[in-house]
Order: sequence, then C-alpha cells, then structure tokens
Amino acid sequence: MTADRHPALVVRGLAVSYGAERVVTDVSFALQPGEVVALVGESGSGKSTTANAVLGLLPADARVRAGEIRLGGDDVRGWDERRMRAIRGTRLAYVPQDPAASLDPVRRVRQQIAEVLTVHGIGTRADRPARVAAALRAAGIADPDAIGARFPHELSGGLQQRVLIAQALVGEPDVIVADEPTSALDVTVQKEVLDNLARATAERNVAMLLITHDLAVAVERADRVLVLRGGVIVEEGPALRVLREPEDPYTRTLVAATPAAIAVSLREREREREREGGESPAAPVLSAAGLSKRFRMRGASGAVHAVDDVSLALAPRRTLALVGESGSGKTTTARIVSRLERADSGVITLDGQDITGLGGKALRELRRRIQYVHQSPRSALDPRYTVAEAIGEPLRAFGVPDRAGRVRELLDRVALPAALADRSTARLSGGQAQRVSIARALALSPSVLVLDEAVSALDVSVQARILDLLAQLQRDLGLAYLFVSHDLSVVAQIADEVAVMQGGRIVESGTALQVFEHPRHDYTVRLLDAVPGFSPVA
Amino acid sequence: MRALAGLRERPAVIVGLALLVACAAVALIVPFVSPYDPNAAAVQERMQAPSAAHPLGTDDFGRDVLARLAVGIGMSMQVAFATAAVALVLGLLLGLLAVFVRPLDQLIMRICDGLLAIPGVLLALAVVAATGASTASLIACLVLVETPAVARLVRSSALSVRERRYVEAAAAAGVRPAAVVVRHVLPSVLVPVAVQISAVFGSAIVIEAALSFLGAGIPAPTASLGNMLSDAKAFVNTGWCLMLFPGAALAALVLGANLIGDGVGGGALFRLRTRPRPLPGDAELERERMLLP
Repeated sequence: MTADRHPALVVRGLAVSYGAERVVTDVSFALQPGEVVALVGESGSGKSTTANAVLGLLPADARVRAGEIRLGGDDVRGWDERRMRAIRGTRLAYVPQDPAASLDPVRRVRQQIAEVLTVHGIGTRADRPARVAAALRAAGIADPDAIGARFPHELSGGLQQRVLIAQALVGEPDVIVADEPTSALDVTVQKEVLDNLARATAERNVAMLLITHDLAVAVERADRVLVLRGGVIVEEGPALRVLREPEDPYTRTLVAATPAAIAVSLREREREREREGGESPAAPVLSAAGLSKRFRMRGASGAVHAVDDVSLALAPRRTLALVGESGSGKTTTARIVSRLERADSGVITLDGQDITGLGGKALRELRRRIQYVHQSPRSALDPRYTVAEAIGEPLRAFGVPDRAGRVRELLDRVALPAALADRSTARLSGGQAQRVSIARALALSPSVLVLDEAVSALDVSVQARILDLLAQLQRDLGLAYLFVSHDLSVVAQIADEVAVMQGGRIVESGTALQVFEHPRHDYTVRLLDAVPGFSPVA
Repeated sequence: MRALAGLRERPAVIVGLALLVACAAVALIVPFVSPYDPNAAAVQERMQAPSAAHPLGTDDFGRDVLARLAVGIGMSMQVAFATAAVALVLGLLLGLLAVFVRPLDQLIMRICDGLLAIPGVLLALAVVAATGASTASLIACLVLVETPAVARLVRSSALSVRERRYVEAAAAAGVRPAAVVVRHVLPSVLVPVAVQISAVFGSAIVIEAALSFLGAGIPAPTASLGNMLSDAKAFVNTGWCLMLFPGAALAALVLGANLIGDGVGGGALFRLRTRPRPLPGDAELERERMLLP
C-alpha cells in the first residue's frame, strides 16, 4: 500500500502538554517498514503519551504540537477523529497494555476481531472468518476455531494478549504500536508472546513501535532502542550499542539493572562472601516442614493444591528467595509462614518455638518477631493515614513509649526525610510508599521480614535503590528475609538462597549461584531461558 | 478542617444547609415572637388570607398558620434527626457486626431483607397501629423502617474495605481486631453512610408527614406538616395558602437534606470545578527525584 521509499512512520518534534505540565517535550524518530523500534522508559517518562499521540488517542485536554507525524506518505498531524478512525486498524494498529481490560467481556473472541474488518469494510462477509482465523494463527494460536468461539474470561492472560495481537494484525496494518504488550504476563508466557509478535511482524514486513519499561526486553526484541526520560529522548541507537556502550548516565543505570549485568554482580557477590571466610550459616531462625494448603474451588470438583509439601529453612542475616510464576503457590507459602493464612498440615517454627497453631494473644505477640511486607506498597497503606501514623501504628498497637522519636528514627533508617512524616500516605510515590512499608515492618524490631513481591511494582531505578536499602538493613540489623518474587533478575540481586516453586511444590533449591548458573530442574532452565537478556551471559 | 475548606467547592452542601438552617430558624424563633397560641381556635378569624396580623393567614379554626407551621417544622425535624441518629448508630453496629462476626452475617442480613421487603409507610402504619400514636413510637417505627438500608450499606462498604491490603497489613502489624475496625474500616464507611443518613433524614420527614396526613402520626391538635396538609385538603379550592405553606416547608426540608447528601457524596448535581487531571507518574517522578541524594 505504501510506496517503499517512505518510512513507515516518522515523528518529528513531538510535544504534548496538559495545561502547564509538559509530558513530552521533543521526541523525534522514524520507523522503516519491517523495523522494530523500542521506546524504553519508566513510569511518567512519556512513553505511553507518545504512543497515544501517534495513534491520535490522547484525551481532549492534551495539547499536541508536532513538526510532523507522517504515516507512510501522509502527514496525519491535525487529522480529525473521523479521518484517524479510518486509518486506525487498517494502516496503524495498536496492541494495548492490559489484556483483561482491553477485551469486551460479553463478545466472543472472533466477533471482536471480525469487528475490525466490518467497520473498515475489509473483505467480504464470506471470507472474513478465514481472515480472522489467519490472524489468530499468526498471533500464535494453534486452534483458532476453538479459541475464537470463546469469551475473553475463558482465556489465560497469555491467550488474551495473543487475541489482542490478532486484532491488531487482522487489518493488515503497516505499523503496529505495542504498549507494554507483555508486562502483565509470566516470563515464560512473555517469551512466547513476544516470539509470536516478532514472527508475525517480520513475516508481514510490519513496522513496530514497542513500548516497554524493560530495557532487556527492548534490547532483545528491537533493532533500535530509544530511551525516554522526562519526555525527552536521552539516548538512541542500535540495540546492542545501547546495551554495550550506553552514553547517557540514566541509560547506564538501566543497563546495570539488566539481567546480564546482574549475573556478573551475582558472581562477584558470591566470591566476596567466600573471601570473607564463609561464615558457617547459623541455625535457622525460621523453618517450615511439610506445609500443605488446599483451596476448594467453587464449581470444580476436588481442590487445588496451592501449596504441596513445602519445607524451607531461613538463617539469620540471610535471604531466601521463593521464586515462581503466578499460581506457583509462592505467595500462599509466604502468607502461611507469616501466619496470615493457616496451613492444612505442616509445622512452622520460629526460634525453636512451634508457631503453627498460635492464636489470639500469642499470635499478636508473634507479630513482634515476624513482619510481612505486602506487594504493591500503596495499597498496603491506609490512604487516610499520614506517614507517621502508618509507621507508628504497630508501635501504638503494642503501647511502645516515645512513638514520635521512634518514627523519626525509622524514617532515618529507610532514608526518608523527616519532613515526610506529616504527608498523607496517598501522596507518596511507589518507592517512598515501599520505604514507609519497610519502616513500618521494622518498627517492632522483628527478626524475620517476609517480603512479598516487595519491588515488583516499582520502576527499575527505584527497585535498585530499595534493594540496596534492604541489603543495608540486613547488615545493620541482622534480619532474615523471605523474599517472594516472580522476577529472577531481582532475585539475583538480593538472594543468598533460592527455592523455585512450580504448581505448589519446590522443584529446586540451593544457593543463588548454583540455581542460576547450574540449574538442574527442567522448569528452572526454562524459567531462566525465558528471562530476556539472561541466557546469553549466565 | 479539610472538610470545611472543601465546602466552598460544593455549593450543593451550602444550599442544603441554608435550607435546613432557615427551617430550623423558623421553628425556633417563631414560637417566641408570635403572639398566637398555635392550638388556640379563634372562630371569628377563620380562613383569613395572609395579612400583617397573620403573615401566613389562618386556618379553618382561625389558628395562626405561621405559628402552627413553626411547630410542624420543629416536630418534623426532631423526629427526623432522632431517626437519623438512631438509624446511624444501629446501622453501623449491625453492618459492622455482620462483616466482622461472620456467624451473625446471615442472621442480620436476612432480617434486614425481610424488613426491606415491606413498603416503608405500610410497615410504619402497622407499628403505629400496634403501639398507638406518640412521638416516641413514631420515631421507633421510622428507625425500624430506615435502619435495614443503612445496615446493608455499611455491610457492603465494609466488606470491600475488609479485603483491602491495608486492613490485613494492620492485623499483620499486630493491631487488635477491634482497633482495626475502628481505625481503618469505620472511617472509610462513614462517607457513603453520611450520604445514606441524609436520605434517611429526608425519607423520615416524608414518612412522618404521610403518617400524620393519615392521622397515624403526631396526634392532633399538635401541629405537624402532615396533619396541616390533611386539614388543608378540604379547602384546596378556597384556601390555597393552607396547602402551600406546609407543602413548601416539606419540600424545603427534604430538598435540603438531599442536597447535603449529594454534596457530601461527591456532588453529582453540582460541581463548580473539575479536579485537575492527574498525570500518570509525573508528580511521582518529581518526588522520586527529591529522594535522590
């Protein structure tokens, strides 16, 4: 459709602002047909805004200025909604971020995909089912007839995402804008979906603008990488060049957080520990033996084994990471160990004391010694509370004197300014909220912290700082961490020991170096292999 | 304090408050100023149009309408306030019990469902018929009519709050269960309940007026808006003021209560300013930068 001389998409001098706030200040790039360009940035960097500006999908109060937005031969700048609508889906397609929210729950998959064809009048009534099936197959769905007849809620996250990809492909566009297409998925699924997407776009010579927060994904999947920060492109170049020789200091922090770089630091960390003279691991402070937990599913016969005969031991000053994909039972295990949930069977001991059946007062006393840090810190803080109230709450519950003084001390511990004490917890950034959650967990001087996906909701550069803080606190206070995470590159940065969970069982455990460098179990191998940018180095 | 500052952006609350305050002022001031006994008949002066001597005219017994209106408004507001207060306390108690003492949930909610299934005025009539008409029994039956809705609302809001992470986080931090309910659940339930209570206030006024209209409410000769309307209905063609003033007072009270509720609940009817659209992550980025050493 497009003359080959034209680039598929050209954006020059794009600026977007809301009132006085400038979200994107000066962004320029071009996509050749068949080229994959990744736009990398953290939350608030303006990457999604850039994508929406290209698609003409910004809210009405956004002010867009652009030197040029050229799609094929046409400058679409200033096109009205009606003209944009005519090209969206046919020449320019979009793969949205959240698969569950992006599909209509009351229409069958094939109807939703065929809708693209009907609204644009593509093909005839008779050949549309074949086109839909072809698009589904191209998106990596082996059985398009069965899947096409289902409703979105009957599909897994990975399949839902593939349906969205099929929806983008069916109109045979020249350009696809994919906004974090796999961020919500498990690593192994992420790999498959990205493979499908890459194959489909390559076969059809479709240019793709891939938007992601993950530099490793960008480098692995794109020909060229643009790094966006604060609405400005701070670095751009061929993918490998950006990874190997980053010029901008911000890009360097992102590169340092990629799995490849982490694998190197993991080895260094291990060597350092050996050099220090391998302190023999002390007796475990927390141990669990034979934990099992079943959930009865409504409608389904029988029960699901969320946790199946899990045993673990955690030594003081050590970090045990519980790794697995969603549904592996890692969070349930952590919750049982912290006594937020009851096991059907098994024994938990803390400092030699059996805590499995504690209740009432004794259970409340237990909270002094073992504390749980929830995932997504912002939802774990009451938005009505100030920072000081949130941190002081456990102190108040146990009647600790001089609360204000202790709160100041804790704020200092987690490197937050004392001035933050009176701020509402609803007005904290993700990183600050996680620091507050950690300070709150430290308030009663526990010996064990259970950290459930403690950094998963945070941007990479913030993650690194929270992990540093955790390491520092462990050294200073002698804490033991049970660290639950799906993110292997995070685990590699903090864990001494790793236990890999699948389907409620621990399939492999050992020191971090053993598990990462010489995985024995198939599943671990598959998991490591799926981490973007890990396999080439480790 | 923050609530007071927020008032300026919510004209509905101000208008609603003004209406209720004006009604209360009439009810409180008129009895002291008016030379007339609201229940004293004066046959020579019956059915007069508004004049300097009788600002709102007189009724078919020659009683001063303004004086009677003041008493009627006072009665309505007392009954409504008492009903709202008791329904609030009972509703919170029952709703929170249903959520946090699980065995009670089904029991409390099925009783509420049963009461909700009976039309309000009918239920109130039945109770008044059984206990005899008095202000106390009137309040009691209004509470019976209104509490189930409040309890249901408290339960549904508290149920969603119970599943919030910060509630579990508080328990995990070692806070006593009762303290978790008071400090974390109660405050977030209060806003929707405040809206509901304003509706209870308005509905109590309407039901009270309906009962009095039917002769089952405030016993005559004490004036109430309902029995004033009931008296007036015989003279719709000749003495329109008799119908107009208690009707207007009734409307003002209910409108006032509903405006307050609407404003407190986020103001679907009026909103002066739309909140500035938060930009995803931008402010956050700024704050993160502040933390950088």
